[in-house]
Amino acid sequence: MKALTTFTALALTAGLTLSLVAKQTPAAPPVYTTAQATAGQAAYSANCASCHQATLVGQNEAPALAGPNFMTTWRGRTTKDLVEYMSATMPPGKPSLGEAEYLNITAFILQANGAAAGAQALLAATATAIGTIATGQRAAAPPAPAAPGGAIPVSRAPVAPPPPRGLSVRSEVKNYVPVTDAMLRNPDPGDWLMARRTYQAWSYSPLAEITRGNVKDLKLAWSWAMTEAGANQPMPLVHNGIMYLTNTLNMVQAIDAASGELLWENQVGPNAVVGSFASMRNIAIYQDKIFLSTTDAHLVALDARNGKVVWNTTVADVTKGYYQTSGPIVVRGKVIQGLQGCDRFRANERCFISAYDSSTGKLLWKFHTVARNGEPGGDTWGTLPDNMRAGGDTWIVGSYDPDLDLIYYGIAQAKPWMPASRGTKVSDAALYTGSTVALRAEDGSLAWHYQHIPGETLDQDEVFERVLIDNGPEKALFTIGKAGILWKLERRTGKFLGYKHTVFQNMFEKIDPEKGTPTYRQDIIDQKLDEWLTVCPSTEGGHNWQAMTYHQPTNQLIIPLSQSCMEISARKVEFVEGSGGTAAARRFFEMPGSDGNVGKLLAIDLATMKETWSIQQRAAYLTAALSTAGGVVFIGDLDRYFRAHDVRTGEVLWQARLNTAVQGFPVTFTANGKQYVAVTTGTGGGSPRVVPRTITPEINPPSSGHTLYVFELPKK
Amino acid sequence: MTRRFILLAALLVAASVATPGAQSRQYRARLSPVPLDVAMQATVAGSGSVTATLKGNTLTISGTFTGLRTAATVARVHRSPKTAMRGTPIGDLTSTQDTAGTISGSLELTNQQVDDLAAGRLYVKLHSQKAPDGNLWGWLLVQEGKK
Repeated sequence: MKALTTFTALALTAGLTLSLVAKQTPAAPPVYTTAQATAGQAAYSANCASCHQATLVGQNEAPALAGPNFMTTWRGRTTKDLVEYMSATMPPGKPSLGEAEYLNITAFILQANGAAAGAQALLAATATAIGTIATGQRAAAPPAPAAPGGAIPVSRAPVAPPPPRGLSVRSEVKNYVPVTDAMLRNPDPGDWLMARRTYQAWSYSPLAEITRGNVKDLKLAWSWAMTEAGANQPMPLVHNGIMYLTNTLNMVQAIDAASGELLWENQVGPNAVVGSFASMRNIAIYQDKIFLSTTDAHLVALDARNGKVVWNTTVADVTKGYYQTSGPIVVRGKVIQGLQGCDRFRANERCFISAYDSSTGKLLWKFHTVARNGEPGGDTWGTLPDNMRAGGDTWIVGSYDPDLDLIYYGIAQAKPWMPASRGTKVSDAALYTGSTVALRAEDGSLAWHYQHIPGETLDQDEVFERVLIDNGPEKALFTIGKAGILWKLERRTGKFLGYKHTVFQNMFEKIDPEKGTPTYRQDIIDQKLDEWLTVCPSTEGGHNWQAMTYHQPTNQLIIPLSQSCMEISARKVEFVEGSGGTAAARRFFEMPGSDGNVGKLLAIDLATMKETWSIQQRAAYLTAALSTAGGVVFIGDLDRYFRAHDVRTGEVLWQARLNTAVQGFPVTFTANGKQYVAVTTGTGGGSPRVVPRTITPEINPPSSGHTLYVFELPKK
Repeated sequence: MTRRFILLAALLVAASVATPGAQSRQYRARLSPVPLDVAMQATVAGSGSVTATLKGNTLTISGTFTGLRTAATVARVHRSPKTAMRGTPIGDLTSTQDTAGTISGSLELTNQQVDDLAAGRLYVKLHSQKAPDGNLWGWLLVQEGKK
């Protein structure tokens, strides 16, 4: 009751402030015309809406451009500041619009925040304080939300009209062999049947035709241009010589993996960017179906033979901001799917992991990642009422232990990012955010959880891959989050077994050696709205979605890492339905001691938990690491290099410079008895692209060029 | 061989006893932009490096910088609560008043500041005309293997 009263007082105070703001009568005369705002809406739809949303509410790292959350940031700054900021930074990576377009978009944003239009056109020199003309409250009706298919690609390059939806190439995979549970559990060495290849998420292949000795001869076998829109970060699947490739805009293709010949193609749709980053990192295969998670939060089963839609299930409501950037894992006939876009306050909804019948698409179970009052963990959110508890996204596919029949997922942080914004204290753990959860495959019930960072407060996701490794009787689970701490858990019970720092961090004063619980710096605990905290690592993470690999023959984990720091400041949010977001401003800088090297590749001997080798480079790594029985580890970077390293020493054995940033999940497979290595290039993404763009601006890969490359050894 | 090693060791010990306080320690800082967003790149840019030698309590710093958008104004040594946190200035340095040039100076540190230096809590910050709150900074970190 006391908790509720406290929050009510907070909400009332916020509401009073907002109502005062809303009642403020703009003192300054209008600074833009209706014509500018109308033109600005069209320009906004074409260039901004895919990230900031058609309703200007923002999403993930794209802040709100209308309403109280926008006014908090911009009230005291001028229209000139806003025009200059957009002109210098938007669209991300390639500010390329004309002055008139930036002015028009500014006019549209002002209109959306209640500023009145007039006879005076907005000029680049106009420097009127936004708080004197806008209230954050729209006077007229808001612009109609775009239909899921109505958003516009974020790619800055000229983009060809999207292809029509549905099957655009119709052929048949001959002699298709259904994928069984036994195959998923023990895949053919030449296949790549799921994210990170095996249930244990090793990103390791037993193939050994390509070795340390001959990898220097690797050459291009074939390449394939991919859809240009959104963020390209995919992991192809390969089964029996057929590659299944997910493109942005929710397209799946079946390709002869040896020749590069297209067999079928289905533009499932929506054929437009939906969601902040509009990437899809993985698809899944089981029996005779390919499972695609779409960016508008559907789960679709395609016939693996011909690409026809078998069933299409809605996972969550895209109009409420839900979307997906990672696909499913299939466990004994159940298609397990995570969810993203959970950063909004919703009265009747919250984030979840869900399971569907692979034959029919019928929902089988849900596990909610945000605990509510009356549930276990429901008392860990301080005074927040249930409808103001947000976050807990699951944007990386989990792993599975068939013997224990447990599914392991990482849960992202609470939203907004910082407790000063979200109305909690750092001491409020906010379960199950920042945790590993072990779910029983049969019903999705929680077997155990381990919270890596209780009350996480600096966008330090602990959502990434869970790698399952046995060492004698020890059954371990390894994971690493943005804080760059490699965690080791016992995967039957969730017991903490150990940790290791992999990059410099200064956010934690100490980590409990027995339980692994970190203690934040005092100034982080005492954080206040609009105060800057200077911390390492940044939101780029010591580690991010670029998954590590477990090289079994040498018992090493090889981990892609990044080295950057940030200042972060909590912004005020409105505690009303649909509000929320990430609500923080950030500035980035090089990590001390890194010598300006953002990219780091680290090998750790699991017998000793000590570093075997590491290499550092200026360019950030943007692919997962792939290791093979041939003693090679493959990885790609922002500076367009795809390299093979000696798994024992890190020595560069081979490299190729590709058309744009090498981004995605490299895989290796056999077709017609021969080993190939495939990797994608791509644009787009969140902090792993935003931070390097800021602190390594001299590295400028092209802003288009989504491509799949397949390499092979020369014919003997 | 053994006799020669013993003689060398004796000479090193004798040299250290004969010149108390003469040992020095080398530090280095890579100078890079202060925390920035993309919009700030119009005024905040550049790079550089400094080396610092601590002899007794005297810290002598020299280095170079380049690539500033506007001319450098002042350079200072700061003390931060932890590596990579902002802190307060503890001494001034001299810098070229240009977009490229040199930084140099000497500070007499307190014993606490010597400890701060060893712990990576001292940093150099260079300001410029259009980045008056700071343009480049870098933490003085010990150069391993060099004493």
